[in-house]
Amino acid sequence: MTDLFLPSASGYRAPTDDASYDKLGEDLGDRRDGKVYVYDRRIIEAVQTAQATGRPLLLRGPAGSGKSSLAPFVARWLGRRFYSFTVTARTQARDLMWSYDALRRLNDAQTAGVLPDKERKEAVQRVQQLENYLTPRALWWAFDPKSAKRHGLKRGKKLQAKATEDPGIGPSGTSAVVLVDEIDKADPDVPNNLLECLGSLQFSVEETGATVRVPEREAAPLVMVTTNDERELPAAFLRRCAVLHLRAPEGRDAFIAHLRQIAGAHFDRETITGPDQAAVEHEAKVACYASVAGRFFELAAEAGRKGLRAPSTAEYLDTVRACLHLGARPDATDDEGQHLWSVVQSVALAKDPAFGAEQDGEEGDDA
Amino acid sequence: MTAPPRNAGPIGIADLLEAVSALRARDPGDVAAIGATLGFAIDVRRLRARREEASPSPATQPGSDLRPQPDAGAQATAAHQAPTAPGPQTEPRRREHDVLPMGGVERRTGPSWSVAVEGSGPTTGASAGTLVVRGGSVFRPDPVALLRPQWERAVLAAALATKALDGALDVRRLIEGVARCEVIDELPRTPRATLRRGLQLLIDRGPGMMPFARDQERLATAIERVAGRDRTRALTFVSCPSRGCTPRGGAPEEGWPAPAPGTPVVVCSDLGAARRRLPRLGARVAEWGDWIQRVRAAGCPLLAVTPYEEERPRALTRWMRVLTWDRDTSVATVRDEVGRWLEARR
Repeated sequence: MTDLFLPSASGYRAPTDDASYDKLGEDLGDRRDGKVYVYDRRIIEAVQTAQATGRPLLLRGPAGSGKSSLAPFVARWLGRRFYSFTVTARTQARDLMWSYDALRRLNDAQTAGVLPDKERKEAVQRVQQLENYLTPRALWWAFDPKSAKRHGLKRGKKLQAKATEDPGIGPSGTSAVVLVDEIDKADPDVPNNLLECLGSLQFSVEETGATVRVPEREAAPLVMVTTNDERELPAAFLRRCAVLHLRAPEGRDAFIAHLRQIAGAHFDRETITGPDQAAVEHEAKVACYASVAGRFFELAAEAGRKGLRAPSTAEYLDTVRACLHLGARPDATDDEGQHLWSVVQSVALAKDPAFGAEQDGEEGDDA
Repeated sequence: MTAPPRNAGPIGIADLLEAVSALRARDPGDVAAIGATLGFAIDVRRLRARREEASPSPATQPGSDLRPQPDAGAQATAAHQAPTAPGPQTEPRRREHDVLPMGGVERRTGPSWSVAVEGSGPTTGASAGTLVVRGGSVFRPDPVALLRPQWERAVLAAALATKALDGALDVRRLIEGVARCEVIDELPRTPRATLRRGLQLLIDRGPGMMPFARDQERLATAIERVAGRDRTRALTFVSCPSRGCTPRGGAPEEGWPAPAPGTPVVVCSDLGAARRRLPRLGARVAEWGDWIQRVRAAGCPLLAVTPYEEERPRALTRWMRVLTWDRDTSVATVRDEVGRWLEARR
């Protein structure tokens, strides 16, 4: 371990001068570019603990609590290369390590037989080299990028096929941060099948028998795994992970202050033009953060009462941005202002029609 | 600082010591925070008391130093040093702090049961079956689970799985195709069990299942944990699903709402066993039979889970898979009564 995660408290912004991170967030959606993250001491300690023990860090918490966006932020701070893998219902453990295109190999073998002699020799060589049909995935790249680049082929041999491009983002030649997103979406055997790989930081490629491991003297990759707790994870997996629960602060004032802090970290330094094409003043921004946060808190409470999905932090940020651009405010008093806010709210924050259903009913009765 | 140990085993006290040492955590609060991340419950007050016993001198430093020390390769992060972790950075560590006082540190494990006492916080019991006496009142612990807790997850994962044809390559079928000079446009794969299709859970609230109402709640929760809350749709019914189903927190629906084809339907019911003692109550076998036909027509695999082994109508066991719900139910029972996975029957 060469460095510990220890970000500055000022502004919650990661260094952005490294152009190799420019693509970060493009394929992750939301605002997961790792530039901004509002953290506290508990989060710092949890990441440091995972680093110190070499254990994966399991991030738990409701949707939108900042689980997936922590990993790119940590990668930026540590100056590490970043890999991500989003788990789906069809994901199997080996999908995180490598994939093997058996069908292409079979087709190559079949077509080689009908090629002219000159080309056949080359085609047969390609078919015989299994590495040509392997594609290294996130954990392979994170463990040993040099091996991944050669698909595990030993030195001195030439890879017949075109080498796979490193999908990582950030400076090369550094250790990695790996995000394994939404592991609870996978079948229950997937986390168990990852135990050996994540614990020993090595795995064997079934088709070729090659062993992929983190080279000696190199820092272990920091693996961050997220779960929405939709499904219970196997106890054996939990026993091998450091765990961090990301929760919103309790109590209205603390909750709103936390959201204001997040909005401030995102928008304070950004020039945002309002409906009059002039830059929105700082005071107006702060007022907007607070009023939307207040409404957010009420909606979260309503969601709890009605069993609805509570709005997420990402939706709060979208709403604040929309309000700043359009000049919408939850506390608008005039008809036009109230209408604008109700549209923004229903589009960006309270998307479930069941929000405010009682109020609508009352209004309907009045009408 | 060297690379962290590579250990495939569960997190143990060595991980805690490694982290506390690497992070130079001195304050018991920081030690507790590190412990919490690793799954240890650490009594901060006991830890602090032990430390004070060990070093009564006023030199004991409050606060903590979570910064990497210069010899720990801190140069790399020097540019990012922040005021988030107060404390001297280069002060030599006291010898007594090198050893973590172990008093008050225990591995966190879930309580075997819990009871909520009016006017006080929740109390946890040390062993199943123990009664808690507080303020002169005796409290009854949760009933013994109908599936053994240590088997519950494996039993449900085995019982609720359906077949997916995306396992390992089916070499035998592949060779067969190649030998016949067939064009292979899709690789044959071996089947494997999966829970990705989710399930519809139907809970019988009829008279025959009244004694098992709390077990049903527990079972529903356990199923959601295994199959996923977002993929489990739970509905209740009385006696037979065809009489109408009610989603949680929703309005009753007429009849049985068929899920998407391929979605397993799991019905937790007495399957009309109540009629043996209360002939006017419960659904007849024919009524169940009609409903089973509808499930088949919808293309959904069907599994019945019932605590009644002897009383259940034998005819129904021929029309659908039935799993006995009892303390002895194991993965082997599932293999015997259900098979490797649920499949839709036509």
